[in-house]
Amino acid sequence: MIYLVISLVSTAVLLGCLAGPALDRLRRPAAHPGIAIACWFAALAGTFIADIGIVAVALLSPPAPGHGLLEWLRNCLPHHGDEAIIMAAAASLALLTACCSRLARSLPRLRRAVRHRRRHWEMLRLVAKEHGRHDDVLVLDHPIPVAYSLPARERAIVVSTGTQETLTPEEFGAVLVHERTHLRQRHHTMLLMLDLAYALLPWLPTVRRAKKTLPLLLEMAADDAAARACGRRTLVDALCRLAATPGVAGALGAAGPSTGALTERVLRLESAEVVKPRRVVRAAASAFVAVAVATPLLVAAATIVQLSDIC
Amino acid sequence: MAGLGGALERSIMDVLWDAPGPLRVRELLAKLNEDADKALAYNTVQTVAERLAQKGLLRRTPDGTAFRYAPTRAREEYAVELMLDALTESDDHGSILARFAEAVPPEDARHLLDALRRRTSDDQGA
Repeated sequence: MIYLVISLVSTAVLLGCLAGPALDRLRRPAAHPGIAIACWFAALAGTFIADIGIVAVALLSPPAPGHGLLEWLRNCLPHHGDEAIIMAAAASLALLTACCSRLARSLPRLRRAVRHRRRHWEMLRLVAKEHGRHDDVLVLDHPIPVAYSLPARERAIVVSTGTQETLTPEEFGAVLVHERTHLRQRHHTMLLMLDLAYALLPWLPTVRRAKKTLPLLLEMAADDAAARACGRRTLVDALCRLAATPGVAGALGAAGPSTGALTERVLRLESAEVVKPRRVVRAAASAFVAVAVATPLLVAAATIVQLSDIC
Repeated sequence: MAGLGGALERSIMDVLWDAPGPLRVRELLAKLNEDADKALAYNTVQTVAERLAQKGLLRRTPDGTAFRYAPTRAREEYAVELMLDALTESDDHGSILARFAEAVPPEDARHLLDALRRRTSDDQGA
């Protein structure tokens, strides 16, 4: 029993505190963003499964009231001293309060994001025009070039008239492939889940690092698809032109925003040749994904099953 | 919400944004039917205009026994609000969209949009 609890806790610590830094230190995750994304999400999922498992075990272990409820019929509470029961009840209450306050803090955030997105889309439907040639594109009449996508059933890609004027037809095509990849691979959902994970447990190193690294990896995955379809030169040109946004309007001049992530994307596209991931890398990543998700699940399940047997 | 209702909502907003002042449903209907293949029914237009008023997109003023409808905000204001979303990331909630290039800080985006608006209004004034 005690070994199971120890292994559950150590799984949580391994995934929550060490998996992130380890993944960050991997040699060139940018070479295969898809594989890196899968590993990150497996680490996040494992972290949450392990943490939920620990909370469940803490609430159900004797003499906590959770266990009492479960075992009421077998009447096992009298075996424990009154003092122990009171202490366990207090601890359970504190734990539940902590969990609820985390949820109360982060779930409204998720709701706000979804509501804001719906409102954005409704405004778009009223203000933006349909693109003549592409039936998944809306055109927003504004001189500042922007291009983005949001999950919607129809016309999920938005470009401004500024973008149409700034980009050549080939570059525009690359932008569309990039955004379509975001939509096809459901990157918006991943970003929302990542934000929720960060809102719930911001202090875990794995979650903190995922929040920093994953958005860039998602962009790189979309970049790769666009580069394959339209050529890397074209995509880099499109990126550079759209990155110059503030310069175009002339309002910010040299004091433009830092473009660290963008520079990283451009440098990567210019330098590295796209190589197919080696079989070893693939196999290792698949193994990591399986272990990261299955281990906390199995250990937590085993511990809880054990708990129902002891009293 | 989508489909015909959505398309009609947009046409109604377009007509009212282009109109010089608030319109009655009858006038709105005439404008909408000007270049439509199939004539719309009065009731349909009234229902959708009413829905838009409930959503806060149209303002309703009584005029005799009927109402006149006008947009609550100019089309440009909506465009600017959309551009702010498109250019910046809100702290209040997670990312709601995926940009091709990067987000800029909110205050920068606001400066940018303001400067641009001033410049275009100067051009029109000159």
